[in-house]
Amino acid sequence: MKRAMTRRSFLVGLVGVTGAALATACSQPSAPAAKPADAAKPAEAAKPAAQPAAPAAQPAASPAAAAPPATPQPQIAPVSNRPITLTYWFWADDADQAKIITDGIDRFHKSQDKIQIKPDQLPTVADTQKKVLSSAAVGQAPDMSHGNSNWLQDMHDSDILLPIQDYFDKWERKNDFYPNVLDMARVKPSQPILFVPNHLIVNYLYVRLDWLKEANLQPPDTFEDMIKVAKGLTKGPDRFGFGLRGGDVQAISMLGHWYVGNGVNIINEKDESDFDSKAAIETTEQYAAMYTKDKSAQPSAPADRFPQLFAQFQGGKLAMLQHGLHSWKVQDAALGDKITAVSIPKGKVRRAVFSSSEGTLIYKGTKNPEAAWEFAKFMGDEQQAKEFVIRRGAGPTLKSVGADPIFKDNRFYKAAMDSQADWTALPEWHRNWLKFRDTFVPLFQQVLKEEITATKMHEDLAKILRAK
Amino acid sequence: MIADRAPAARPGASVSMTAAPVRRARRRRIPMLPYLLVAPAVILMIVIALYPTIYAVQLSLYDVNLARYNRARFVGLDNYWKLLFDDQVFRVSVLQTLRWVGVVIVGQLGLALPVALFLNMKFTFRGFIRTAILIPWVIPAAVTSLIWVFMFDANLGVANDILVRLGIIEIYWTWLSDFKTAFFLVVMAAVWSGFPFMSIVLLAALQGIPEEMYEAAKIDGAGVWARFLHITLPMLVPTILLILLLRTIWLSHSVDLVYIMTVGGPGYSNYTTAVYSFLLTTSQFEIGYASAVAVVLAVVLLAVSTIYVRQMERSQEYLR
Repeated sequence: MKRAMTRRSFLVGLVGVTGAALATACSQPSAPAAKPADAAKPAEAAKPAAQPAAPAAQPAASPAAAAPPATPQPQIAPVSNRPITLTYWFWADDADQAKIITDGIDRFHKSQDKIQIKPDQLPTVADTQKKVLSSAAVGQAPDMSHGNSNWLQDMHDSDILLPIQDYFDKWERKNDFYPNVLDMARVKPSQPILFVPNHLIVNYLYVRLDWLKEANLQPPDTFEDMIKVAKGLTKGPDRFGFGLRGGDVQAISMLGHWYVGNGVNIINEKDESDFDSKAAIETTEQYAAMYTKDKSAQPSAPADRFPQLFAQFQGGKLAMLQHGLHSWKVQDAALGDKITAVSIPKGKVRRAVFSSSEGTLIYKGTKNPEAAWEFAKFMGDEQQAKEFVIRRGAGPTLKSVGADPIFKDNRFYKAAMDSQADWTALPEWHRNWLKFRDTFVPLFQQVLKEEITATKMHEDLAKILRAK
Repeated sequence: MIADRAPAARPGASVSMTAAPVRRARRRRIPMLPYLLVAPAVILMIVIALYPTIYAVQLSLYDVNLARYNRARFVGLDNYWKLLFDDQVFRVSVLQTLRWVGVVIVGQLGLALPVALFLNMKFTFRGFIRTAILIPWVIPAAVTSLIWVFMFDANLGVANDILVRLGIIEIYWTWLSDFKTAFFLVVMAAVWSGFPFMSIVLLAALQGIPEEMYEAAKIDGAGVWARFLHITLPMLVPTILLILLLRTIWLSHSVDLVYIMTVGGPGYSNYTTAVYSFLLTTSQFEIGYASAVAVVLAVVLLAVSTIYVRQMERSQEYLR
């Protein structure tokens, strides 16, 4: 007689199988943050022997509260003699950028034969950040990745970064870094170095030199000048003095120069913010007036992102554009001697030039921290740093690279270097920064369209910054 | 096997001595094979549909950010409370989802029905046109979005150029920077992209209407309009109701067109619930709160769909 089963027993079995599947799925190990012991002993971690799961490991489906443990510094041990393969994720905005990194990896392979890098190229910086974070959440982060300084604080708080201060302190190159570049690599003064920066994205202002001469005006040195120059270079119906960026999250980076330059404390480590102060509100009003009153900013400003701004600038519709050194080649190819670049203008209090640094991050889950450090060091050392600076168009992290003649001979590099003492960063380390940044965009667009006042915008945003 | 089968106990029959053997017999006669054949599909569905759903519900009960995953904490229904009573953006997004779904569906149906009627006629190159009409639908949404963004670019778009040359507008219009035109531009893109699907489904339904009905109506003196109103439209109602349901669900959680063309802006003018949830997840990494948004959206859609399907069944019974 054939075996048969009842509907009930089938359903019971199915529930059992499903339950087992769910239980298995739910019991995936959590973020490597739960395994601080691994990173604390990198020399031991380098051994291939499987480590017993740390008792603090959380089920992936049950994210639970856990304060990040103290971050013990690793003991440096020599790289093992056997070949080691390290995973390394990076992104590239274009083929040239990808080539800079893959060429660097090739040179690293030629420089030694013990460490093999297995690169994985991802489309964008945002994709890379998301993939690293989600992989780390389930304990599958790569050994290393290329990363941006604005990722650091969250990753440090999540305890997924390998502490590298000890390695860094023993590196002969350490004194060659610009102090404010190291500040960005620490994020907060009280913190250790969190990654090895290898180049900087430096903002500055592109200006149409030919139109300035024509109008007998000088490039702006202060924001007051900039407003006047923008008005002076506007010629209806389709030439505008300033390319205002309102369509994406970079809107805050653009306007942030004005806030910090005018002495506004967006938020500090003590959680103090005067983002709803009179100075902050007036700064927004002054900036938005280029669009609403002076009409010296392009009509499409509320929705414009960098492709639209580039097209307009290169198409001869904009006289000034805030962007960075990394775009000098395309602007120069399109407009040649008609343009130059100057530092971001000064505010009432200071000149603030936002820079974000990029470099190599090492994740705590790596089994080979020494080998990872060797690669991170290689990518941050003079030769590779120079490759980034020259081939990508970037600010230098090292004084020795900053001494290159290109920073005097090339007007775009010079403009970036002129503001070296003023390089700083937005408070992207703040716990509410992402919400603040994302909310800034629609509210600022509403201010531009005069749907709400600048006061209302600042009140709403200050609430977000101060939220516990 | 047949010999093993015992007749089922009928209501009212004496069960005192025979109920247990009969039940055993009923149990025994169900073969394992059909269940085994279905089991992989069922398990697969559970793994790819049920598990993520349960996980999303679970996440929605946590204050968890992907960037600070190890600081996740259980907050119970706090996310839902905040969402429903303390989140103005969510409320705006719900209203705008209704507006988005309503306007796009009306637009798609309004275009799809005449096109389907046209495609049902006999004319030269009918096969080619029927295939060509599908082009907007097969183009990926990301590409469609970019095509429309470039066409209506405020500075370099071909649409402005044509409209100025035709004298319809005097200066280039900033389509995507304006609260009203940005919405209608996305709607136009969605209508253009989605109407072929509706047309083809309606065409299939039109081809199922018996020719004899039209012939009988003609004999009775019914004109074109009367035949459409009293034969075509009633016969299409079940199909229309079905595609309206499908489009409502698809549009409610669609992100691509709205996000790529407007990022929800300017201001909050194009924030739909799905876009809001998407931004919370991908830009702010607020996976707990975003899950709550997604769960609420799913519950609403499920409720609406259930009511709708019941109504649809009643309508069909009425039509029969």
